[in-house]
Amino acid sequence: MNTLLLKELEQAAGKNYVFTSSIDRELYSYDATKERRVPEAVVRAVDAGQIARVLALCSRHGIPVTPRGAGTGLSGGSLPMCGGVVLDCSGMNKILELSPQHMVAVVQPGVVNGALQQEAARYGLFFPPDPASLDMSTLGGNVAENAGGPRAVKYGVMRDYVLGLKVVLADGRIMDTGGRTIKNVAGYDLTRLFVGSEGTLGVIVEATLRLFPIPEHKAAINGFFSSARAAALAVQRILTSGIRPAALEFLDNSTLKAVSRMGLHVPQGAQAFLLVDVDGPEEVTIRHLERIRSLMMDHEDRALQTHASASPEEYEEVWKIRRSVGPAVHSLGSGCIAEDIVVPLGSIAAMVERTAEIASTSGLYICCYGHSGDGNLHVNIVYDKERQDQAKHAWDTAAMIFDAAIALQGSISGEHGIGMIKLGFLARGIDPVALDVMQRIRRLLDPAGILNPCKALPEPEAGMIPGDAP
Amino acid sequence: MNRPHHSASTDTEKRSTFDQEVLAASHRCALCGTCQKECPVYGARRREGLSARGRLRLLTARFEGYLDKNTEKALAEAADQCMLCGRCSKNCPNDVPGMETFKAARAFFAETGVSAGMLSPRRLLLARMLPSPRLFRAMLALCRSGKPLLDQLLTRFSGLSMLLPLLAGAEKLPPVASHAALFDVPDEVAGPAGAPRVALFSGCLGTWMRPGLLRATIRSLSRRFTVSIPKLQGCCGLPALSGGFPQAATLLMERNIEALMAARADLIVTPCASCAHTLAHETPGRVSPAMAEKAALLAPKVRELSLLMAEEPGLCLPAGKNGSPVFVHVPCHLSVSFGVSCAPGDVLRRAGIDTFTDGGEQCCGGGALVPQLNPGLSTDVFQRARAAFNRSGAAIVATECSGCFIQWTRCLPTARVLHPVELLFAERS
Repeated sequence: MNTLLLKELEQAAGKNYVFTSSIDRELYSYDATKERRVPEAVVRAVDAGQIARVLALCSRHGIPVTPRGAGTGLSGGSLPMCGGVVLDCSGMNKILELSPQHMVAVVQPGVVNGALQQEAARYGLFFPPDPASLDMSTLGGNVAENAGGPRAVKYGVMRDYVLGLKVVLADGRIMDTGGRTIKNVAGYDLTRLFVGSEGTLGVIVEATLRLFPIPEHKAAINGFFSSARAAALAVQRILTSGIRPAALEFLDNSTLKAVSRMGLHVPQGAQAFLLVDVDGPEEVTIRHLERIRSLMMDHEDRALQTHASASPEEYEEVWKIRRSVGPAVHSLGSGCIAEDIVVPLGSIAAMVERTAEIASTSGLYICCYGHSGDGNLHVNIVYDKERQDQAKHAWDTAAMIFDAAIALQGSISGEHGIGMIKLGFLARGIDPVALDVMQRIRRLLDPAGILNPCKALPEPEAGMIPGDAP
Repeated sequence: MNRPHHSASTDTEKRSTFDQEVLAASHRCALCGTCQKECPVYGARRREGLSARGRLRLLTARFEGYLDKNTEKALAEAADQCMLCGRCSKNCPNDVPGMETFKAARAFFAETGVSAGMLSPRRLLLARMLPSPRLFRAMLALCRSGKPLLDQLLTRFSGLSMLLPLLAGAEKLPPVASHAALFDVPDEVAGPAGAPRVALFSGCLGTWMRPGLLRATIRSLSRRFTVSIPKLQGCCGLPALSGGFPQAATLLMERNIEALMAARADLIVTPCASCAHTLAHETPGRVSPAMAEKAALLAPKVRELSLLMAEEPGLCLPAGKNGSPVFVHVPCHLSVSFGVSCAPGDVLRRAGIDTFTDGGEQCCGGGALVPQLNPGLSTDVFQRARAAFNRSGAAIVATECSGCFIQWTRCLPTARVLHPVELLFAERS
């Protein structure tokens, strides 16, 4: 960035909020993908007016702008792929309003999801979207990525909780969408358009979010199965039983092996694991837990053993194996492609089986686990990062997993987003007309192409070849 | 894009040891950001460079040659901005040893930086406060030959010599005595017949600044124990370690091991959480191999006084009803190092005192020499602690650590700051 432009940027953002030292740029060059892209400058966002001035300037000069929350994303959404400016929104972290009457919260984008949970709990309320990064990730990032988590099976994802947004557009205009009502059909649903837009359509500077009453009671049960198929069939039985679990999580054999390497006990012969969480009035959760236990045990493909929680300590114990998966899988190898395909509920068993087939033919260590209750499975492909051939083989294998999900009428990403990691694969699973419409919307809102370029959607003129791995 | 400008192979052996430590930590780190969750300095300012992830990334980038050459001083400052509370290491799902890496970084930059003339005047001044090993050995010889009363010189071995200079608001603290209170109490105070023996490790505050704390501790302990008070004890070594002077810390630790072993006690009790942390967790791995076995024997016997009072109700006296509640600030070196968050509040409540506790979740910003090296940051971290105190409506703060005592006293002069044992064994003025 030349000196003149930098001066203009300092005028727009405020001199104290622009950073260009190699240290400052390095600090905003990464996220949880472990990729590295260094920006030319970092701007510390403080308010909508400042962001508007910065975006207008960048639009005029064609400088890329990458909004960033806490940098915890798994698809590279906050990496400055084309250099330019990283807009650090983590300091805009005020909960502007929390209304128990309206059951809404109005937040700035840098508020950490967990901080909102904590504040809402003081009023007996909670915010259902619960990505694994809940304690670190910001709500601005959660909205932009349309984040979800284990509770999605019962409560849905971020999209279902955003009632309104304040957004700064690429040309510097500030726009309010939606409001604070549950129903609102006045005009197009621009709020939903921005949820999951991965920072490509505007910068979210305020969000009005819906809150729910905290369920009275929580309980959980886990079970080990002799095959992935047996577990997947139990998932089907539970989902069609009339009970709506608050979480329904699955671990395959490879994931169990990784977990047992961490010192956690996995019974002999166990090839798959299920965790079912229920919430509601205590008497209901007790009844539901018993029914779920029976759905796991009283069948031909019965669980080897189950363990239900009877106290808060036991509840944590029942969850322990599921919670240890992240570090267990991380410790397996230097490289890991962490994918998050999603399939329709009736196709979970088929997807798990197809993944196992692909794993055995690829010769790579593949862990399949995740939110089986909503069809969202994390397929983690482990490889040696130092070996170029293995990296390519791993991405070829990832492509086969994506194809398998698409063949089952699923999608290549359930909650991580496309970012830059899956950019080359997007065209496989999306209708070409829909892609064209998306690209036109993007160009309409960001004609200079400054907002998070090289991400989320392939550039039409770049001629991205479908399946071209990053 | 930045290009690497040096490789590890050209560096000194010292540098490569440090780099290896950084790389091992970096390899473990998934860059997930979990370390930000409870980090007091990140929480205060929400800057990536203040999180363990950010700091580790910078040290890695330095090794990889991605940073400009003139960044060493800024990196040293980044290491100095860590409170060394250990929350990042404790919460990390991948067991990244953040705190240990940043301690090593402080030592590395102190050692290599001095010769390169890159260090801040602040740290150089701190370094001058440390005893020279030669003087220390000479002093020790004098002490052993039965002439231990060279008090003024002994202050050189007090952690206060590192904690007090450069400290804004130091004038609000009680004056430092020119005479060690340790020498005003007997070598041994007998407990009930057949009582087990404890060795009292006074800590710098009890010895030099708060003689009342030392006396209250002895009064409490002697209700159930025979209390031995080894006179050759000194600073636990933590300030030196935080300052990036691990060799000086080792000397202090070794002296303490000798003093405490001689007491032949069943338990080692200190009214300072940071001393307890250092004796139990830092000392065994930092002393010479010849001393390591003794240190390992002593470590499991170490108790901070509040924890012992919680285990042994007989150490407490009932207290009169207090008007406003006592705000209990649980030091990081109790909550993070020993996993204790309730014991201090429980002890006071059991004695009939109304309390309001922060549960060990709120660092006060008084540790790891941050108030001396980066006063603004320390004050920012303290703001949340202050807010919690103000919400409580309390007029007294109860806390068990020297660093916390200094921080609360200088930042909140309107409040009285006491150890729980001082509340239960108040002296008539």
